[in-house]
Amino acid sequence: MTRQLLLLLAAVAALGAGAAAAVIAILELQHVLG
Amino acid sequence: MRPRVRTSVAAGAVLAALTLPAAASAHAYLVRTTPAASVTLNAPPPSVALTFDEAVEPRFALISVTDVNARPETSGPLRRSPSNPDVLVVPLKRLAEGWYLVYWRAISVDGHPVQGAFTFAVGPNAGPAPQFTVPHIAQTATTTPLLLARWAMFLTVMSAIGLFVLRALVARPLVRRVDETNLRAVSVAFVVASVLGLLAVAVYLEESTAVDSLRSFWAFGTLVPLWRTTAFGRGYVKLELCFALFSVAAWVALRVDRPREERRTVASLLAVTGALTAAAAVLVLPGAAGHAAQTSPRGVTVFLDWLHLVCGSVWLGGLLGLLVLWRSLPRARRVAGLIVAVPRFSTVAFVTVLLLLATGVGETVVHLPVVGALWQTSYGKVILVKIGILLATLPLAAANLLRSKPGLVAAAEQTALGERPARLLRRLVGGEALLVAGAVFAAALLSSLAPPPPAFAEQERAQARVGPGRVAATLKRDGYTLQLLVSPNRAAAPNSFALRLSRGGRPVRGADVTVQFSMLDMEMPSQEYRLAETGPGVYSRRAPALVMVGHWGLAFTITPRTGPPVTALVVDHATG
Repeated sequence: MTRQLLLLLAAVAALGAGAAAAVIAILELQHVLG
Repeated sequence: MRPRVRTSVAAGAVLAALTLPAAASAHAYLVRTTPAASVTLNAPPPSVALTFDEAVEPRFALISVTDVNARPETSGPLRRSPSNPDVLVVPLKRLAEGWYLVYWRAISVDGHPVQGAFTFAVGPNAGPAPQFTVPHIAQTATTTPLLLARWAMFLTVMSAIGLFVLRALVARPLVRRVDETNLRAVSVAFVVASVLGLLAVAVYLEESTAVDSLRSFWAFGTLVPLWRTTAFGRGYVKLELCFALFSVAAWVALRVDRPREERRTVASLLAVTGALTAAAAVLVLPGAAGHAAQTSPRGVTVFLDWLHLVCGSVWLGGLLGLLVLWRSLPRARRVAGLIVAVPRFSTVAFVTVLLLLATGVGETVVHLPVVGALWQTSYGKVILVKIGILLATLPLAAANLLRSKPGLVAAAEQTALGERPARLLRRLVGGEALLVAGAVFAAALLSSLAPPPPAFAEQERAQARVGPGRVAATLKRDGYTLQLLVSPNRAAAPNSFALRLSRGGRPVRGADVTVQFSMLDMEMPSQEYRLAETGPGVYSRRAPALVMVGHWGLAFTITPRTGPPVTALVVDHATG
């Protein structure tokens, strides 16, 4: 159970990393295209 | 791969050459110089000031002022004018009478160095203009180490993303369908590629900052704080950050994945989504930091560049992943494993190659003003080289189509028969991966060159091509005879331009003659001069118009006292 929770937490962190990268790219695009 | 896929890959290779990050120029360009080019001043100027169309960073700029013996005449460092950020100023020693050469170099917003040269004289008795040795004025200041660093960066970043896609999405069912197999080797290859990618982006940033600021690569203490000085540098710092986020997310995604289960867990789905989102973000940034974002319509060019990189990454990483699979699968399971992985990859490759074609063609159309630019400019020639490299994949594709693919299909029934086609497939895929790496090199070179500016299209309608060297050319337009003389036709030297105008053998007097100079090799503002009638039907002027080595469009507009105006375009090649 603890292991599964840890895996889920890690996966949420990975999703967060993806979202952070997307925000960086979107802000850069806004700056460039804006 | 399936026959139709291999055929498409092969056929696509030609047009895929028209792919990968392309470029167009929206460079910082010089608007005004003080003193003006080729002017003779009565008193020595205290400084040289260059006005650009946008703010330029003094730490990445250079202005050298030398006398005829190449002795430097500046008395202090270059700085930005306090009253106008677009102006760079360098103070001078007290100049003696004579001629001086100003050579300048700056970094434009998309990271490309722009450069030029001009002369001026201090009088009143400056004497005749000498022939200076003009520094090499090319469209790019790319060095071999910088090019290699760029190539390594593209290769590693694209491979890491492609390997992840192959491992997480394409090859995943293999473990379930073939006993005693795993995808650990592909995961390790992904980790190696991502570590190398993180290093390669940092090395590229450091080398590019070193080249731009004319410092040593090893001056880390000075250069690292400068990474974020230009928009280009800031873009690549963001790329490094996003790639690090991708690497972490992808690593987590591979750790939580249980490929023996057909259905993914929620954790696996979340992590894969995060990693793919980060990968998509990473591939936005090269276009946003480079030419694509400087070429109109920007939204379209940035999107094409992004899609193009996505497809290139999936293709390159997929080929590398297949090679890793081939090596890592147990000998007895190799053929069975390839039978699962290869057709799935073929489907993905088919779509990516089609998209590579479409985006490559789109980018080429946007960036090349005329078809002739393909063989008349360095930029176009690199595209042709890229086509050549990818054409070389045709024989490999044909061999795969005719030999290895049917062999693998036959081996589905009897695995022992699949050894030979599997070996052949490995050689061919290896060759294909090498060629794609070559194409990425061509792409790295391509994106370091400035594409021809829209003015290049003027060459197509030129009535004459002249130079290099002194020009004496005759052309006929609308019943008029135009004799053009340009002397000495050298860049950064005062040139005299003369036009002898006659009709029916008689000089045409009293006409209004103007000539517009457009730089055809890179984007610069054009200049227009009126020629004065200095003899019957002879119109001339000395002008500092050819400020750079390269091809110039000389557009004459002749308005006679009676009758309609006549125009003529001459392309002149000026050397240093």
